[in-house]
Amino acid sequence: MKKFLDFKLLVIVFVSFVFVNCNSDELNEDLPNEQVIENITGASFGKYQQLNLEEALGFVNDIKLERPSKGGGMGVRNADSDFLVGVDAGSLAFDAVEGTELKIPRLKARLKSTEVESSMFLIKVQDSTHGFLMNIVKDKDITDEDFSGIIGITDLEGKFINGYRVKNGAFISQFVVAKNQKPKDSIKESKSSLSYTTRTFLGIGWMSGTIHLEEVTVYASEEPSSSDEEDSDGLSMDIESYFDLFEFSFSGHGGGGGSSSSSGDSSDTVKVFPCDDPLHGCDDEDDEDDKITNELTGKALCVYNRLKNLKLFKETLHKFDNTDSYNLIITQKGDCNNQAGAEGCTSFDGKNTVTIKLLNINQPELDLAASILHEGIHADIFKFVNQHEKGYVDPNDRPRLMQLYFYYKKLANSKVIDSKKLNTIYQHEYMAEKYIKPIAEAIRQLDGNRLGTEYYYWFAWEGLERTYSFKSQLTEKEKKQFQQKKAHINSTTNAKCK
Amino acid sequence: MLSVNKFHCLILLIFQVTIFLSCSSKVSLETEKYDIISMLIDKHTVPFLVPPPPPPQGSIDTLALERDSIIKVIQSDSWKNQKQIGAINTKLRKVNGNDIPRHDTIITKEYSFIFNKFLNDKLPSHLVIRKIKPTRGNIFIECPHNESLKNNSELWKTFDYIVSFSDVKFSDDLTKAVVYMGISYGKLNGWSAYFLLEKINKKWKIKHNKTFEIS
Repeated sequence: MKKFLDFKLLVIVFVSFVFVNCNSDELNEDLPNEQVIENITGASFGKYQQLNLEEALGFVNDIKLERPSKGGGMGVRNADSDFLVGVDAGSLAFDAVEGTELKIPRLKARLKSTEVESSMFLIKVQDSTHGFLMNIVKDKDITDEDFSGIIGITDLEGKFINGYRVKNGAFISQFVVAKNQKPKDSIKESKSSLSYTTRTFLGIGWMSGTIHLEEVTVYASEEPSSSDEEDSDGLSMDIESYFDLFEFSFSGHGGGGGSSSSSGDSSDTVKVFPCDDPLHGCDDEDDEDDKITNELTGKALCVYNRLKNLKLFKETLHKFDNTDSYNLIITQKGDCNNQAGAEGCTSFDGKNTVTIKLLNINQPELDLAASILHEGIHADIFKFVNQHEKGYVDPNDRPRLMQLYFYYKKLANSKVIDSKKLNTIYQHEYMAEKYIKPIAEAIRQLDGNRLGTEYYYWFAWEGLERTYSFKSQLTEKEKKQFQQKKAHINSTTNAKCK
Repeated sequence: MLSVNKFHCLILLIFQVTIFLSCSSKVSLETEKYDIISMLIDKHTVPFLVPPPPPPQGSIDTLALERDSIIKVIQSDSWKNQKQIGAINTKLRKVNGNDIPRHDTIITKEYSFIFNKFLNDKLPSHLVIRKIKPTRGNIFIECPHNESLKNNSELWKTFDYIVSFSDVKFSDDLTKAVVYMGISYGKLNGWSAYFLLEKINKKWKIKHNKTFEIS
């Protein structure tokens, strides 16, 4: 009998050991549901890179979830946390982003406040994975079939990133960080805006922190949405139905910019991140002076400011706002060292500062804009090639640029071309291949889209007349026509800066 | 009395020798300066022709023959020796502190010392075109004024390039020199660089150069 009891004890110890041992396994080993087991076939889009299953699970593991105490349910992150207390790794699914092949990993999350329905979504930018929470608070006073309430985007600690008020299925207002942070007890209400303190929001529980927010009207864009995916305005979300509440898309133009609007239109699509910048939001606009030193004045400043809203500007000059490693100085002072007749030039100090000089401020506004874009592309290329040489960027990124760089560098090393011309040759060839249409379209936009793109091509070709592309693609007749069209544009445009 | 005359003669002799040496030094400096400028123009103004770019990775190279042919043309003497019209910017550019390289580790103390000679320097006198030695039958003309170029882009078609320089600064023994040079092919097409030179076997050689600005 004693031996039998010993045997039973042994069995119990063995089973307990197995149980404990199983519990200490990695959380992600058996949690993902069947939906995500299949291969992820998404694709990167714009700045957003596709996360695969392994990366998503790795991120979830790294936020130190503990295994659910009972089968299934939420992994506990920190039961004592004032904000995020759990994430259900087993709910991991990849949400398709409308209009693209990008898929965003999303999981159920639990906040301290039980009134908040939360989900965690992951994005990958600049090769780094970031987790965010989409927190939804239903307005119980409105019983309409369509959703009414607040949707807030925060980081995993509850720091405010973005937020919207939704009424009957439409975004009606956006929460933005108040420029002047007031004492945290103050609550101000006015006709044009409502100011809330964090105390107000802490009561609701969808964010934490001590910042003041202002509520500004969300407006519907007046510009039609483009069907061209390259023209999308950033990661957005829209309301499709109550059960599948917020879907990601790339088609939105409305709201999200962190600025107020006088229009009272509501919108059904808004940006997920202010200024479509998941890492800095619109904050970097305040930091702009730290990275872009803008010394332009008068007409040049006016043209520069108009360019700021264009896609090509965001893809070139605006990139300097998003990096701490490089500074850009743009000035109309001084001269281009020993380049007589030059109307603009770009220099790189070999370390971290790129300088653009614009010398002919009296030229027509659209010519000035073309010069800024031309030099802005040089600045972006200098930065990229330097980053590449330092190993800071993926060698597979912009392969054509690097291919041209290495090809012409080899020709320079073997003295086929003058080494002094290397930078202008490879950068101009790349510009001629990739930027003729974007520059022409940017100038056309500045000109209010008055005439067809072909009227704006000469703005883009100027400076590239010695490239192989220019010599091989344009006939003498075309060159003449483009020049005449440009002259027509300059003589009839209303795009003037005083 | 005689000794007084002798003394006067001695003073006169010393004065004449000083003037001669001073002139000779200036002439020598001027000669070296134009030797360097002529050499740099000759080296960096060969006719501009860009070989076709390679095909994007994964696509068929339909320009291989044309590329080879253009590279052969560029390397041929008949191409290199084409006569060109060069517009010389006779106004030498004043170099300021911001132009002096601070991150170029190749620059030795000796060259740094020469670079510093640009600082607080007087405005250099203009270049004299006839003192520049043309090679390959090149013709040099005076560069149009900047304002004229800005107002009339057709002027660019009247020459092949504009070349501009800073003053040339030398080491005290005239064996090393520094100069800035720039070439413009159009209003948004050009480069500028600085050159460190050394005189080896009575000929100026480029020891180091760096492009620091492009259009």
